[in-house]
Amino acid sequence: MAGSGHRGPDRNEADGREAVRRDAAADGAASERAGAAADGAASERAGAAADGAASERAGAAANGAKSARARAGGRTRARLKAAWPPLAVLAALLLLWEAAVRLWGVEAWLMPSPGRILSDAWEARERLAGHAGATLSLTLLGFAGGSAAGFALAALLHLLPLVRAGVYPLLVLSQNVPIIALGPLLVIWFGFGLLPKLLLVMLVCFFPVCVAMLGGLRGADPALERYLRMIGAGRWRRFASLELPSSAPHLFSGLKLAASYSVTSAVVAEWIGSDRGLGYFMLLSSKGFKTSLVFAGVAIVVALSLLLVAAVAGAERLALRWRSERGGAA
Amino acid sequence: MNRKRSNGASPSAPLVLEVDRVALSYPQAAGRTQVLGGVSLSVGAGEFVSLLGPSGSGKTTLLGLVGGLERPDSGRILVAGEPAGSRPGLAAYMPQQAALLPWRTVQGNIELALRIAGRSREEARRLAREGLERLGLERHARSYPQVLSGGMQQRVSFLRALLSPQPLMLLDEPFGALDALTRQEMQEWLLSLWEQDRRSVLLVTHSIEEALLLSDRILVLSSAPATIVRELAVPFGRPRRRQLWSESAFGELKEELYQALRRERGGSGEGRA
Repeated sequence: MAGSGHRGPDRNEADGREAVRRDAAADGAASERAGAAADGAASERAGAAADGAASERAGAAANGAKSARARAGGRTRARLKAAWPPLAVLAALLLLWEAAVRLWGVEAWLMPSPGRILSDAWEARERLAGHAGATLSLTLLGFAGGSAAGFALAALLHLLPLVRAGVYPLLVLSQNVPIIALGPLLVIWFGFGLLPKLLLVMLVCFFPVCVAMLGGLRGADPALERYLRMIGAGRWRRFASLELPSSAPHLFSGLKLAASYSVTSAVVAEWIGSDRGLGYFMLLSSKGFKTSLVFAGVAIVVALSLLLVAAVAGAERLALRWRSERGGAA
Repeated sequence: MNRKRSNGASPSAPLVLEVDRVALSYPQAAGRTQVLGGVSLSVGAGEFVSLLGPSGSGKTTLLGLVGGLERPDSGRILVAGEPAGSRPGLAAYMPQQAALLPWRTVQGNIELALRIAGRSREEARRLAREGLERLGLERHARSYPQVLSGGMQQRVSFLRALLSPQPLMLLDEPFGALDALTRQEMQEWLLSLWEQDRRSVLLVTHSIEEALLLSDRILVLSSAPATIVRELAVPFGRPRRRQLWSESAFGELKEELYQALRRERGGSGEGRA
C-alpha cells in the first residue's frame, strides 16, 4: 500500500495526504458516533427491505385476480421471514467488525471501523456523489449500448442460420476472453477519453446478452411453431410473435448478468484511465491511505450494482406478467 | 376425380379438399420409410369427414401436407382449388395441444390468428370479441391460457379455427389429450356449433365413437405406408345428439369400424413388413 502511494503521480499524492490530515482531525468524534450509526443503519436497511418487499408483492396482487391477493399476502410474510436471517447476520458482522477495530485499536488507515467509514463518507459526500454520478452514467450508457448491440446481433444471427452456424461457436469461445484485461489495449487505441471506457463496459455487457438471447430464440415451443406455420404465419411473423416473446426470460437473465457486471467493469475502466468516477476516486483514496473512503467507494459500487439488477428484475416482472398467472384459477 | 365419393354433401358442391394418390417417404438409416402409400380422399363443401387410423399411420403427416408444411413425393393436393403450399394458410387448423401463446390473452391469441389470416387489426378485435360472446366465453377474454382448464383451452382453440376465414378446417385429434368426460362434453359442444354453420372439416382421430358421432363420412387409414382401406357414409341424420350412442345401428357401425381397424393393426405385421 505504501509503495503504491509513492509510485502515484504527484497530484494524487498531494491530494491523498491532505485527506489523511483531515481524517485525523475527525477521528475522535467519528469513533464515538460509530456504534450508534452502525446500529441505526442496519435496522433502517432491514426496514426498507421489508417495505420494498411488501409494496412489490402488493403491486403483483393488484395485477392478478382477486384470489391472488391472499396468496401475495402469504408470500410477503414468507419473504420477510426469508429476509430476516441474512440481515441479522449482516448486522452482527458489522457489529463484530466495529467491536474488533475498537478492541484492538486497529489504525484507521489499515482497517477503519464501519462507523468511521460512514462518518468519513458523509464528510466526503459531495465528492462521492459526483464520482458516483460519473460512474453511474458510464455504467448506464455502456449497459444500454452493449445490451442493445447484443440483442440486435442475436436477432440478426438467428434470422441468418448460416451466419449463425459460423459465428455462434466463436461467440461462446470468446466468453473466455477476460474482457476487463482488454482495458489497457483500448486505452492504447482510443486514448483517455470516454470512448475506451464506454467500449469496455459495452463489451462486458454485450456477450451475456447476445449468448442468452441466441439460446432463447432457439427454444421456442415446436408445437406452437408448427401451429403458426400451418395457419400460414411467415418468417417475420413467427419471429415477432413466437420466438422473440419466448426468448424474453433468457434475455432477462442475460440482462441481469450484464447489469451485475456493468458497474464493476465501469469502475475498472475508470481505474485504467480516467480523471473521474468511483474507480478513479478509490485509486486516489487508496494511494492517500484514505482506506475508509475506499470502503465507502466499494459500498457505493455494491449499492449501484444491486440497484441496477433490481431495476432489471422489476422490468422482467413487468414484461413477464403472464408467467405469474401460471397455476392460477386452473 | 373422386367426386362420387363425396356423397355426404350435395353431389354438385365443389370440393374443398382433393387429395390424389399422395405418397411420401422419409429417409431412414436403412433406405427410405414409406409413410403414405398413395392416399386419395376428398372433402366436399359443408362436409364433415373423419380420418380414422391406428397411431403412427401418418394421419398428422397428411395434415402437414395439406397445410403445406411439406411436399409429397408424388400425387397432388388441392385446397379450395389451389395446390397445397402454393400460398401459406390455405386451411384453418386446430392441433391436439391447444397451441395458445402463453404471453397472449385468450382474446389476443384469437386476434393473432385472424391477423395472420389477413384481417385488419380492428376487424380481428371485433370478430374475436363477438366470437367469444357467441360461445359464452367472454369472461375468459382477458385471461392467460394457462389459467384455463384443458377443455376450455380447446374451446378457445376451436373458436380460433372457426373464426378463421378459410373454407376448410383441419382438426388434428383435437380432444385426444382430454379426459373421457371432458372429451364427451367437447364432442357435443363441437357438434352443436358445427351444425350451426357447417364448415368443411377434415378430422383426424383414433376414437371410433368420436368419428361416428361427428362425421358425414369416415375414412379408415391403414398402418404405414398408409392408404384408405375403408370408407363409410354415416347414415344418421342431423342435428345429432349423443343419444345416438345407445342406438343399435351405432353399435353395429362401431363394431364394423373396430374390426376394420383391428385388421389393419394385425395385418401390418405379416403383410407389410
